[in-house]
Amino acid sequence: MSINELQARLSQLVDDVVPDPDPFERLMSRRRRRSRTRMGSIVAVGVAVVVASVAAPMAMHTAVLDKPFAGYPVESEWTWKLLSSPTRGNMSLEYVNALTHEFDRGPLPSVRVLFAMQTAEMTQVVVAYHSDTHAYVLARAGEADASAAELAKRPGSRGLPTGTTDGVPAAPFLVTYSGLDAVTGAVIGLAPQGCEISTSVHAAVRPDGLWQRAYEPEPTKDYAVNYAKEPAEVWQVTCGKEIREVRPARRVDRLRSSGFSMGPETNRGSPDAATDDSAAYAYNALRFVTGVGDRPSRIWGGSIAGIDEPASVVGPLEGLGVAVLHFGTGSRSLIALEPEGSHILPPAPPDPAFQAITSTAITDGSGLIAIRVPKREPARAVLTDRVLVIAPEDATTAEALDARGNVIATGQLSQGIGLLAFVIGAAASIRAGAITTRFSEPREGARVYGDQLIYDWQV
Amino acid sequence: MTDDGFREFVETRYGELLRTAYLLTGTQHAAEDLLQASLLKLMDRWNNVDDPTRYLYRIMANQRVTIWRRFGSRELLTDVLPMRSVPDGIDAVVQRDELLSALDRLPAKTRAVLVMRYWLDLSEADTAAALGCSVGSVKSQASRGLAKLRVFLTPPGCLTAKEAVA
Repeated sequence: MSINELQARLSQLVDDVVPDPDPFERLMSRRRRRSRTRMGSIVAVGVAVVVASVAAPMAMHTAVLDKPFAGYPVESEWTWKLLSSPTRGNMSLEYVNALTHEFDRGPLPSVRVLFAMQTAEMTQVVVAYHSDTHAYVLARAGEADASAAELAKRPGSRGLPTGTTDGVPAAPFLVTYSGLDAVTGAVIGLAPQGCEISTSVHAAVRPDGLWQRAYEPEPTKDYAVNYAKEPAEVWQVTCGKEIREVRPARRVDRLRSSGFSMGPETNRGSPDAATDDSAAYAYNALRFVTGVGDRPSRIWGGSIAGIDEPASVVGPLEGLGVAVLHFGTGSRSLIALEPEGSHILPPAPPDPAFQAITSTAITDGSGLIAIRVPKREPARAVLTDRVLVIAPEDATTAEALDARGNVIATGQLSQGIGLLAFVIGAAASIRAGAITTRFSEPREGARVYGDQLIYDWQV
Repeated sequence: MTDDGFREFVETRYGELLRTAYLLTGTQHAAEDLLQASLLKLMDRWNNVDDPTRYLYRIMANQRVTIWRRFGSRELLTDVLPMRSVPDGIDAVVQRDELLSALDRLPAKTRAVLVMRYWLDLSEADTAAALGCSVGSVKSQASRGLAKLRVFLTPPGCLTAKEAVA
């Protein structure tokens, strides 16, 4: 390469490098933030001495990563609020300071210890690196007596449960996994200081097809920990009087299961074994995440008009419960949570390993099951306007009815199986033959098994 | 300290400085980080610096070299793909990525020498002064850096035997 050629290519390289507007104001903003953070640390140290370190604050150091810092854009003031919240957990100020020192990689960008907790089994930390515009979060875990230096040297959390890869984006309610392995570890939820987390452990489907779920305030208020060996939890985050987020502690939009056990099966339709297995994987993973469901049975298998791959429905053969409609094979599934065109939940990075798609529904034991048909989109699955109806074999038509009992959609059934098409949230019940079942679903936003999830961090 | 021309310096030179920081780091927000941190250092000494641009280049280059030294020349995997600037055509993007990757493989000091000599067009003496090293070191780093770039940017089949094992 000649010098002229290098100069030309360097020039070409920076052609599109254009600064954002108001560089001076942004520089001053960075200076103010740095000053505030330093002052905040000084104040926090004084408070911590008094309140004995349940929420040990941290000293602030500027830091830099060893590679060009490539975090995720921070788009919410709530995220900044979280990043400037005191360190949560039960570690001493001295230990948190040591962590900050060990994770500090130089003058840029800033490092913050968001969480540090020691239990009898392990020590867990969650650390954020951020610039003025970007951030990312690492979770580390070590033995119970691990030093700060040992934690900083530990490898990331690769190979751990789905959705817990290292270097996750910062979020207003930051949920990440920190553990020694997939069993000895915990999902940690960190809300901005001042918000409160409530936890629901037990949920049930009522006979009327609605969810029964009760929340208990977390004693730790703005952070929560769900250990891997504990039952699945759903977390609700309230800031002021606003419910800002409701989600399973464990990630629900893409799931991987290591096994399943099928119950007695029906031979309805033309089942495809690989799809049935994959559906059972998804069902089992959902059970782990949501805490609902039991050993599934194959209810129906076959094909759906316009979709060139086999479908499988698994769930309980009778009684109250939950069921899934599934396409694809393998143990990794994308769960359809939102309607097509809806983008309430933060997008997940693409992962081509997740190809199977799953939608969810409640079954009320009436003998009539109705489940939204899912559809693949890049990096996610969505819910469509079509609903699969599984009715007794002698039923020939199905109808969707709104809350006033008006018929809003009609479809033919073949051997009790067919499709209805209607806008999400428009129907209150489905009727096929002599059976009517409640069909309750949120009009908008995300849901799993009809249970509404919330993600609302607008300022 | 925001007066005495510092604001004007930032507002008029920021784009050019950012491009230099980009060549030193390889991503736009790493460049912003490096530049802003360096500017804040410059701001603290604004009234005592004769040639702020040169001083700033020195801060930027040394900061990159210090970081690189601290964490070594070993290859480190990032969790996140670096963001690149807005692409135009496919070929241009490929060429840019190739050059960025090649620059990433150079030691930070060598990279800084190449950027200062061939992007900023500084003399060997000025580059040496900015980096706090000898002119001889600048010459050898520039020569070695160009040779390595040549190797990194040449398809394996096109290398001479000497280049292939370099």
